[in-house]
Parts: sequence; structure tokens; C-alpha cells
Amino acid sequence: MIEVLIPAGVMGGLGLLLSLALLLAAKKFYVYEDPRIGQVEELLPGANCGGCGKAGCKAFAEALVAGEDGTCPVCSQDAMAEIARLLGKQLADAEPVVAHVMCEGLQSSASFNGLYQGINDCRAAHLVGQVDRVCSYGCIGMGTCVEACAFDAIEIYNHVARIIPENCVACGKCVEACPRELIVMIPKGRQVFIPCKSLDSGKVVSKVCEIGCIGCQKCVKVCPSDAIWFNDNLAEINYEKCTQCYECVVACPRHLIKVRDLAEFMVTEEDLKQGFDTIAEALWTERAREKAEAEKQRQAELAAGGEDPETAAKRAKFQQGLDDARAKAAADPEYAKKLPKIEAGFLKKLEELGPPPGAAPAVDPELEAKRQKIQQALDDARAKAENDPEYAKRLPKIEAGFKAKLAALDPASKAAEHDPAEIAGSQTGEEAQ
Amino acid sequence: MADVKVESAVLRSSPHALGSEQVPHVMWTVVLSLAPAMLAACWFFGLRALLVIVGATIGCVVFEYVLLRLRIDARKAMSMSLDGSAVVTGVLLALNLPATSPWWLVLIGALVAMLLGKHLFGGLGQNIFNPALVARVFLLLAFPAEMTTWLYPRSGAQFMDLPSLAADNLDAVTGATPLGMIKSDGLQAFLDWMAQSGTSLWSMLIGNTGGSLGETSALLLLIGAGLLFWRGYISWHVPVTYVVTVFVLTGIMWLVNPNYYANPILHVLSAGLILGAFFMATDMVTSPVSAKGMIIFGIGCGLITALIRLFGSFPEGVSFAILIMNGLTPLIDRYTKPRKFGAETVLRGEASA
Amino acid sequence: MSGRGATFRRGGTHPPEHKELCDPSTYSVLPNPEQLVIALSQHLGAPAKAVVKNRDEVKAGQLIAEAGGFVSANIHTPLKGVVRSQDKVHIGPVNSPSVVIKPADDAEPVVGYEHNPPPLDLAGLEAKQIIDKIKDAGLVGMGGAAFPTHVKLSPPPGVTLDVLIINGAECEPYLTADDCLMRNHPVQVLEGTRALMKSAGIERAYIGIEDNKPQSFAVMSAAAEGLPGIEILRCRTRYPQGSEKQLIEAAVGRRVPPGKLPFSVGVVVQNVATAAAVYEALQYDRPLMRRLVTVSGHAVARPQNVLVPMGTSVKTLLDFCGGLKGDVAEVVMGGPMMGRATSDITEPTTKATSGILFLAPDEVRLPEEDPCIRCGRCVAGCPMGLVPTELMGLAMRGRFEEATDALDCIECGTCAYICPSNRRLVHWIRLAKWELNRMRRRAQAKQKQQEAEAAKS
Repeated sequence: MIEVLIPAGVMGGLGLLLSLALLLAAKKFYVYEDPRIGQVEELLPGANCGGCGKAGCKAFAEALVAGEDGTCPVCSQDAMAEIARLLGKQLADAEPVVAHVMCEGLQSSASFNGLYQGINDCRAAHLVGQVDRVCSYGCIGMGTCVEACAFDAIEIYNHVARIIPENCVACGKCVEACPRELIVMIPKGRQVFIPCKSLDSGKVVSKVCEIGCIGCQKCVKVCPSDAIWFNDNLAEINYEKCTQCYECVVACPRHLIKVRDLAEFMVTEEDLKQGFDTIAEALWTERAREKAEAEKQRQAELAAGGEDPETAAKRAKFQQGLDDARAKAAADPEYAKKLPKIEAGFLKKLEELGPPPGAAPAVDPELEAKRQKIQQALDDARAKAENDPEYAKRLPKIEAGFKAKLAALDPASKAAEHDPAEIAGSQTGEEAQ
Repeated sequence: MADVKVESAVLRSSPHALGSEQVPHVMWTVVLSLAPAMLAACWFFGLRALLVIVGATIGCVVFEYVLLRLRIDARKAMSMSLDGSAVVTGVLLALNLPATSPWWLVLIGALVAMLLGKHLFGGLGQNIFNPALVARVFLLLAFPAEMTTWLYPRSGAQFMDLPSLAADNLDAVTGATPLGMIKSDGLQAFLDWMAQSGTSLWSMLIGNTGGSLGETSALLLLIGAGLLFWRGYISWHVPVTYVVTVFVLTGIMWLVNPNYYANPILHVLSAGLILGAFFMATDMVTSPVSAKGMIIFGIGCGLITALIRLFGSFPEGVSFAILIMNGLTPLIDRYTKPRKFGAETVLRGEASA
Repeated sequence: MSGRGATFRRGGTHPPEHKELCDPSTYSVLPNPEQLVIALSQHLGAPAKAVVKNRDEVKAGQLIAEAGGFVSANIHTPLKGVVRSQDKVHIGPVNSPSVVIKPADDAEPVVGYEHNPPPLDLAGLEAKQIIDKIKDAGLVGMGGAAFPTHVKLSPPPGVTLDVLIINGAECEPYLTADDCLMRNHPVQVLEGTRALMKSAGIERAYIGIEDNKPQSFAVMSAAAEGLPGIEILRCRTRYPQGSEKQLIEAAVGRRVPPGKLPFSVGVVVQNVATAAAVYEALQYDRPLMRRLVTVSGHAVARPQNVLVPMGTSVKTLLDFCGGLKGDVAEVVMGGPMMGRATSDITEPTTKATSGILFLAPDEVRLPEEDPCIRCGRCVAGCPMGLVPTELMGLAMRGRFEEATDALDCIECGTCAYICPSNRRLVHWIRLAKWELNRMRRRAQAKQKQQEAEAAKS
């Protein structure tokens, strides 16, 4: 029995002694830490990216509690607001920014890597120097920025770095990593940017890069707000003046100027080959395109000896009103009674506008006869529908059929001929008769 | 003008001239320097010794290739496994084994050396501990009987004989090493045995004693080490300080009590100290890079070896001493950086640094 | 000084010299090239600022760009001609503004060094006048670093200089331009030395020459007889004997502390070609416009030393030397240990171009790196007492703040040369240096910004 008690006693005593020692040590060496530091640290993302300028989230939390001001680019606004509330601080407004790689040159580094034998790092490659026929200012493409990014917001595509904007939190690590300082922060609301930093003359740039700025200054000339600044062979946008009209985007002959939110802002070699129209499609926003189309239309009408847009708009409006009224009358018997008067009113207004531009097409008597026949049948059907509710129910379909036939007679709408639904409808209409 | 494109010119950082001595040169020279000892082993211990050496070497190379293939393509793995580093490990491992080692012991040793001693750390240049010693210590602790069955030199009538490893057959031709005898039976017993068997310090020098393959011929080992000194692959800092430290410490104890402690020359010549000091402790990967560091390393090895031999229960302490000091090498490196050029200069008008 | 020649104690190596390719007993003068591209950022310090416009006509030796700050240098055109354009020129990682000059059809070629020219009359010149003439002539260090000479001769107040060392070591393999200059024109070098001594108030000068140049040593020793205070010092042939800190140790036993410049131990070092240029500036009012360049390597048909006007393209020189012979593996500006590889042979030469090497495949090794085996040879070989393998390890892991010793590296290349694993030690250390400097500049900029904001509020 005693053989068990002694060891047990010794072990137990030792355990007690050691725990007492630990307790004393914990008390004596205890470091007081403001509990708010832990709370703030909880709210921070914990990525330790260094975007705040401190050594990590813990260090940033300590700095904030100590009274320093700062910002965490990764944090959501809510988290920042919560931290501000916790510490009794004010949340200042800061315009969110996002990173951009100011190089999209297709020639940038493809040739570089073949001749270079050294450390696989953009900074190390930059130190070794230039490669003939390759841009000396452009992206080297070995991915030092990709390694620096803790948020998977940058990738190498076609030997050139590009940002994935959804993931970018603007911590600034890629900006530090790039040896040629190609990555810059642009406010999120700013859509237009010029991805080139080459200070070489146009002659040299055109030899080494398919897309780089050649200094033609077309963008400077078309900019209505004087927001493009040309200095030392390179155009730059002054974001304080830029109104995002996209004139420069359209004007640049090298398709260098880009709009950020468009999905495929990386112009591939295939795009370049397909020509300006395709690129314009990809690059222009809705507004720019509408504007261009409207302009195109106006020019076409003017060229055809047509009328000015105002009249044309009125004509279109009256014609539309007339069609609407007719449709409504067809559906509503009450309204149908009023229809002749309304029709007359519209027709009078249309007549007041004068004859529509362009000569009326020559009338084919055969076609005209057919047209009148169909129109008569349509009118008969409508009249029948007024008296016969049963028939009235089938009227829309019948009408559609006759309308389709009328439209088919119109040589301009050949497409309608082959529409199976229309044909089916017209067949029904004929059956009904 | 020749029609040649200058676009083929390579771009790299300076220097654009490179010396021609590369890793394979170094490694294979080390193997060459061990050749006299290998030959001595075969001379003293016969065919079996040759088999152990060949087996360990081939085993190490094959295991290295297999382990490299796990992370490197075939072409590079082949060139790396033949660069000589695996062969060096294999030879050193063999020289640490007794001639009576069965084939499975040799192969396990090779596997442990390559896997635990080298590739788990990351391969060439990344290991902290000497792979051959890792294997040796592993085998010693896992298979103590096989690892301490020492063959007498030139035993067995025919050199080409392959005496079977059956225990009763071996009894006649195996025995303890000198230090083993001293540890287990005491100094006097050993001296009696020396007189009786005609063993002298000289025979220990040339290798005519029991022991592992490489432990015995100090002379031939020194000749091989001379080659490495001449080529500049090892410097005096580690081996000389190691041996001197052992000599001094064992010498002190011998002076204190010559009846209990063996004399220092005996210590220097036995139980693999020469092999350890000149070939294992000087392994570049696992020893410090600066001269100051190497001296500290050598003294440390000597101190631990002496302590184990004098006061510990193991007869020989070389393997353990070197492994312990290997572990301390990163620390030694951190605190023994060479002094920068001009750091000692005191400028006029400035207080001394 | 031992019988074998003076030398530095620590580190170093001895690469094969390859000097026999290029006979230093003679040189050729390059006929006028089709154009000169004169880089404005070809010296340490601020780039020079152009003072000419396109279509301006310029005379030989006319100032085309003036110093852009205190640490900067004037630049002159070597040949008479017309300013064609001012494009950017790319020299290694530096994008430099430049002035492109088309030499006139009747322009005289650059004048060679005179034979047996008269000694300088220094009695009438004060130290300050000498320095001003040096500054006007746009002299920079011609050993490769291109440090503006007049700045070197104007140390901060309180510093006394008592030793001048003229660097004739030329320890890089292949290069023989300095050897050629000393052998053929010792008077210019020695008279320039005298002028430099006067300009800095120095009474003791050593001209260090490696013992693989016995002819230069003999010629210079003979010419120096009777000149007080000037000793021709025989140095052991070892690399990097021509590194200024190592040469200072060899000559006077003083070791410049880490992070400091030679003036901190009272020494100033100048290249032999710079000394010759000092003579020419004082005797003939000749600005720095041309220099001897060694064109060598197995891949060039006729390796030789050439007197080249600044701004000549590598291609022009290559054609003058017979063009390429066989495959070329590397084109190096400078020597093989510290030079810079280039693949653009339209690159222009500068005041600091001492040699252009066209290395054939049999002269270079382009090996793959093996892992570091911690052999310690780089540590033993580093003349500055650094631990290159540790610096490389830190740089590889991005721990640049811990690698501050990299700033003391002179990039001599000894470590990478002797590494048995062919590790790119110098490249990693240069990366560490660059990152450390960038971090320091960023921190300074941030501090300035904070100070500006604090001043505003």
C-alpha cells in the first residue's frame, strides 16, 4: 500500500509545487494589455498584409488604441465604423482606390525571358538590363508583383501583369514590388486610364510595342476638358479634370486608352486583327455608342435629303399614337366607336407635317389589289367581331394573320415572310373565313 | 563579316567568368581521398569489406535517385545523384560499419542516411546533420549486436574468404575494439591483451586492429586527408583543433591517473577519431562557414568526444559529438561572422568602434 | 611590401587573364562613326542637362550638356557636327536622355595621345584653378565608376588628404587599355599625377601596377625618375587588386571602414586614364571626349585597343574590329568579372567604357545553379569580409532588412566565381542592395510627406 502512496504523494506534491510556480510566474511576469487591442484585432481582417503601414494586424490594432490614426484598405466600411465606434474616433472619408498595371504591351517581355539567365524575379531582371527590341519601361512579367499580393488580385496574362479588380484591396504591396513602378492606384470611380509608361519617342515605341503610346497627341486634342497632359513622349490623364466622356478612348489610334469596367480590357492580338469596329464595340460604353449611332443616323437622313430630326420625331410619335389607338379599338368595342374621330385627328396632324421624305415607292396594281382585298377582309372581320362575342375572342389572332399578310406584301419586310407563327396565324385567319 | 545574330547573346548578371571547380569535382576528390582507407579495409578485412563498401555506395546512390525523383525530373535527378555527394555518403557509411555487416544492415543504413539524414531536410546542402553519422547512430541503437561485432584483421586464412556470419563461426575471429575493451574490462586488461596479441600503437596506426572498416588505418586516412588539404577542400581549422582538444583532455586525465585512463596517443589513434575529425566533421554542409566558427566547432567536438570516452558509458564518442555539434552549427554561424573589411580602423577624430 | 609585390590580405581569387588576345603595345584610332549617341546620364550623380537644340551646329570639344548639380559633370562633343535629336538611350537599367550628333563630313577624327608631350607648368596654377579646369573639362573616373573627378578632389571640410593613389592595376581579365596607355604615354599619366597631387595638396603618390605588366612597370618607373613623391608600386597579380579599397591597403596599409569612402583615411584614388585626362585638360584645355577601349574576346575577328570617341555604338566598334567571328555567347561592357552583359549593340560607349568583350561559347559557362553546399569558399574569398551565402539566403527569402551588409559589397564577383555550385551570389546581393536603397528612399519620401503635412497643420 505504502508503495503506491509514496509515489502518488511525490507526484502530486510535485504537480502542486509546479503549478504554484506557474501561477506565481504568470502573476509576476504578467503584461497588462489593453483589452481593446484584442477587440480591435478581432475586427481587422487578419491578413497581415501591411497595407496599413504597420507590421501586421496586431501591430495596427496596438497603434490605433495608442491613439494613432490609420486606415486598413482591406477592411469593409462596416468594420471600420465599428472600430471607430469602439475607440471613440471619427471615421474619415477616403476615396477607395484600386490598383492598375500601366502596361498592356504584348511585346513587353516575351522576348526578354528567352535571353535572360538569372534570378526569376522582375527586380533582378531589371537590374541586369534591357533586351533589344523590347520596351525598356514595360512590364517584365516574371511575377514579382503576383508573389507580393496576398489577395490573389494580380496575375500574369500573356507575359504581362494585370489586376483582378474584384480582389484588389489596394494594400499597395504590388506597387512596392514593381521595379519599374508600373502599378499605380487610381480611384475606383475613375474609369479611363492610359496603360503605358514609355518615355521613348514614337519611332522607338512603334518598333517595340504594338500598343504603346507613340505621342500622336490625338487624345490631347479631342479631350473637351483639357484633362490629358502630354509630357516627355507620354500622355497622362489628369483625374481631377477627366469627365469620363470617353472621347480619348475612341480617338486613340493604337487603342491604348482603356475603360476599366469593361470585362475584356486586355486587347488580344485577335482583337487587333479584327479591326477598329470590333474594338470600338468592346471599348465603348453604351453612352458613347448611342451617341455615335444617333449621329450616324442624323448624317444618313440629311444625306438622303430627309427632314430634320424634330419633324421626324413628331411624325414617328403621331404614327405611333395612331397605331396604338387602332390596336386599342380592336380590343375595346367602346373605344372602337370613338376610333374614326381619333384616327382623323392623327391623320390630320400627320398631314400638317407635310409629306414624308423620299418618294413613295411605285405601286404595283396587283399588289395593291391584294392589299385592298386583305384590308377589306380585315375590316369585315372586325365588324363581325363586334356582333359576335364568340368570334371576338378569336379576333386578335385573325387580325394578326391579316396584318402579317399585309406586312408580307411589303417588300421591305421579307423576313416576316418566313416567320412560322405569322404564317400559322394567317392560315388560321383564312380558315376562319 | 560573319552572318551571326547578336540576338543570341545571353543576358545575366556579373560575373561573366566562372571558375571551373564544381560540386562533382569536390565530391569525387573526397571519394578519391578515401580510397587508401578503402583499400586498407579490403586488405585487412577481406572480400566482405569490399562488399560492404560497394553495397553502401550503390545503396546510397539508388536511394538518392529515388528520393530525388519524388520532386525533380528524371534528367536532373540522374545528374544530381551522380554528382558524387551520395557516393561520399555511401563510402563514409561503409567505413563506419564493421566488416561483418549483413546486407540488410547496409541497405537500411543507406536508406536512413539518404532519407532521414539528407532528403527530409531538403536535399543537398540543406541537411543539418551528417547523413553517414545519422545512419551509423541509428544502426548502432537499433542493431547494437550487429554493429559491435568486430572482425580481427586478416582473420580467415584466405583473403578472398567469405566467412559465414553464423555466430559460432564468428566467435573465433571477432572481438572488442581497443577502447571497447578498456571501457568494459579496464585499462589493465587491455594492456595485457595488447602485449599478448602483439598489438602495438604502430599497428593501430597502420590499421592492424579490430574496428569498423575505416576506423583502423589512421595512416592511410591521413594520407587521403593530405590530398584534400592540398586541393584546398578542407582547412586545418576543424580537424586539427578536434584532435588537439581530444589529445589535451585525455592527456590531462591520463596524467591524473595513468592506471585508469589510456594514454592520449592511444585515444587519437583509435575508434575513428581520425576518420571523424578529417572526413566527417569537415563535411561542408554541416559545419560552420567561417574560420572562427570552425575552430569553435572543432573544440566542441573534441570536448564532447573526450567526455564521452572518459566518463560516459560508450567506448567511443565521435559520432555523437559530431552530431551534437552539427546541431549547434547554425548558432555558431550566427555568432562567428568574419569581421568586415576595415571594421577595425579607427578614424582620426572618432572614438574607437 | 614583400618581394612578390604589395597586395591586400583578405580574400580574392585569380581568374585566367586572357590578356594575350589584345596586344597592348599599340592601338588604332577609330575613324569617325556615322553618328554619336552621347548619353547625358553616364556618370554617378545627377544627369547633365543639354544646352544644345536639334539642328544646332557644334564644334569638336564644344560643351553640349552642363552638369546638373554639384555631383555631376559636363559633357562635350568629340567631333564637329550637327545635333540630330535628343532621344532616350538605354544603357543597362538606366534610361538616359541623350544628344545624338551626326559628325560633319569634314570633321577631324579624335586626336590621339601625343608622344613625348611637354611637362606641365604647375607653378602658375593654384589648386582651386586645377580643380576648376578639371570640372570644366567634364572629367569623371575612367576606371568604370565614372565619379565626377572634381567632386572627389573636394572632400568635405575638415578632411585632410595625404596620399594619392593612381590605379594602374587593371585586374580584370581581357582588358589591356590601361596597360596600353601606360606603356605608350607614361608622360601624360605622370604629369596628370603631379597635377592631381597639387590640386589636393598631397605630397605622396603611388602608381599601382600589377606584376603581370612588366613593360608598363619599366616604362613608368623610368619616366617617374626625378619626380618627387611619386612611387611606382609593384602589386601582386590578384583579383580584385584594382578595387580601390584593396589597392589602398596594398599601398599604404590603411583599410577604409565599411560604409566610408577613401577620403576618410586620407586617400584619394584615380585611374591612370583619368590622370592622363587631367594632363590634357590642363595642357591643351581638352575636355574628356575619347578614350582607349579594349575590344576583345574569341568572337571578334581582330581584337585590339581602339581610341574611341564617346558615343560610338558598339556595332561601329565591332565592325571596325572585323566583325563577329563565329557564334557569340555573351557581349559584355567592361571586364568579365564586373561588366554588364548587353544584347543591344546599338548601345553607345561612354566615358566609363573600358572594354567591350565578345565572348564565344568556349569562353563562357552558363551552368545551372546547384544548391549551396555551405563550403564557405565565398566567405574565404570575399575581400570585404562579408558572408555572401548568408546574404543570398536572406535575399532569397525576401528578408532584405536583415541583409544590410549587402550595402558593403563591392560586387567584385569573387564569390560567384569560386562557388562550386554556380550560385548567382552577386545577382542576389545586388537585388538586396537595390531593395534596401528603394526602401530607404521610400521611407525618406514618406518622412518628407509627413513633415510637410505637419508643417501645414
